[in-house]
Amino acid sequence: MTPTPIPAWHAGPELLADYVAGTANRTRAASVETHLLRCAECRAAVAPLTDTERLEGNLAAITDRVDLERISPVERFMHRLGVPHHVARVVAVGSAERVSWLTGIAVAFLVALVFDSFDGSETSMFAFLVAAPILPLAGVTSSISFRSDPLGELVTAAPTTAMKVFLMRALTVLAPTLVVVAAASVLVPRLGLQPVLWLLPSLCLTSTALALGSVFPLRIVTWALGTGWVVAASIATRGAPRTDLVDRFAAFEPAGQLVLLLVSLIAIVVVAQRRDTFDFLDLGRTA
Amino acid sequence: MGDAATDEDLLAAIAQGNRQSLDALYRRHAPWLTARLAHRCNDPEVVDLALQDTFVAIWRKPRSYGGRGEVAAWMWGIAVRRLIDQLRRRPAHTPVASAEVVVVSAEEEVLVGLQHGGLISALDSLSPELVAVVQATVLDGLSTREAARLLQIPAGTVKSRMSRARVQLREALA
Repeated sequence: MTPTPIPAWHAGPELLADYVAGTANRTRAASVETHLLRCAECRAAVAPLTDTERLEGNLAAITDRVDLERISPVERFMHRLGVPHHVARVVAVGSAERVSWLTGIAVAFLVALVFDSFDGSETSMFAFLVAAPILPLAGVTSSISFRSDPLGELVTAAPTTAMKVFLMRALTVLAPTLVVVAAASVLVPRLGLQPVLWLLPSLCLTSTALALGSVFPLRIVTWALGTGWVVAASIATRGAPRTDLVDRFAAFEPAGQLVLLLVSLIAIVVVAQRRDTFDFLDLGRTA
Repeated sequence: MGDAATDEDLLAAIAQGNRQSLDALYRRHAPWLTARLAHRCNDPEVVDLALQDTFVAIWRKPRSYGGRGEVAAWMWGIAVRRLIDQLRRRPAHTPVASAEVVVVSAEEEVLVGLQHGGLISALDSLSPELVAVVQATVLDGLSTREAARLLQIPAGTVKSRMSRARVQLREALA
């Protein structure tokens, strides 16, 4: 591209100042305007004559509007509900992944329901109850490790702690899950509380993973816990009749659930106390 | 994108979604655009909105610059139309302030004269209403309808004033 030839004539500081102040008459103003279209030098000379604060204000407004156009529908919806900008951004990024986790859980649950009503066994429901807690565990730890997170850099630079981000995200997963499960319990009364049984194991696995993750590498902890959970479930139900699987696994019994709740609470306290170490480990080990 | 980048470079980068380039383009062009818009409308709030609309429009469609002519002229084309859109939304807008005639130094007179020759004195002989129409149609390149919206007068009036201005200018330059 050839550079634009610079005209020999220039508007000059006084004429430009008159023009910007609106004190140049129409014809002189017209001269300046025609000239400005072709002269980058004089355009640049207008900048110091204008109100910087006003220019910055307009730029901020433009930035906001451009940002709003780039945000996801989820984020725009949260804006409308009055959720602050930065919170909405942190929660919404990666929401597509979380929607697919949720859909996965919902589909697995429905499949389990249908299969079990065919043969009257508990095989599919049990498989669902064992598999369901693994998904949030994997989802949460991966969102904490920032490996697959488009917002990773931004989060590490933000004043918000990784813990807070995690909690906000966990809430967005938990709330809709609870609604789905509650609806299922109402629609299929014979299940009773069965569909809810995976929630406490899920909470326990995830919080324990985070607590241990403050000492050991999070990825290894996640794998160990996930595998341990599946192995424990299959050992507990070895040789059990197919119609009576769920009750065989202590984790799904009232006493077992109580233990899981206690472990979860301890783990949450540990995570809360060690969250500084935790933030540090995040960035150091998994980046 | 540093200072060395041309406006065309910036537009190409904006088309790739580069936000820094939009900022750079803004810093380069917003000052004179604001000044020129202020000459068309004396409500700073409307001018600010029109300026914002302009850069949002550029962000959305940077490729509508066809590569012909000055980027600055293309930007002004967008800006003046966004101003007209803003004015259309507020019927109660106050019309453009008539420019005050100020004492021109001899030096400036010569400089301006060098650029436009006899035209400047010819334009000066026109009434403010006629100058406004010439400005909108010739200088800003607006259509009759667009000029009518900007000046808040009927389209027929724009046409009749334009033909009167043409006759007077021809006489003055003859």
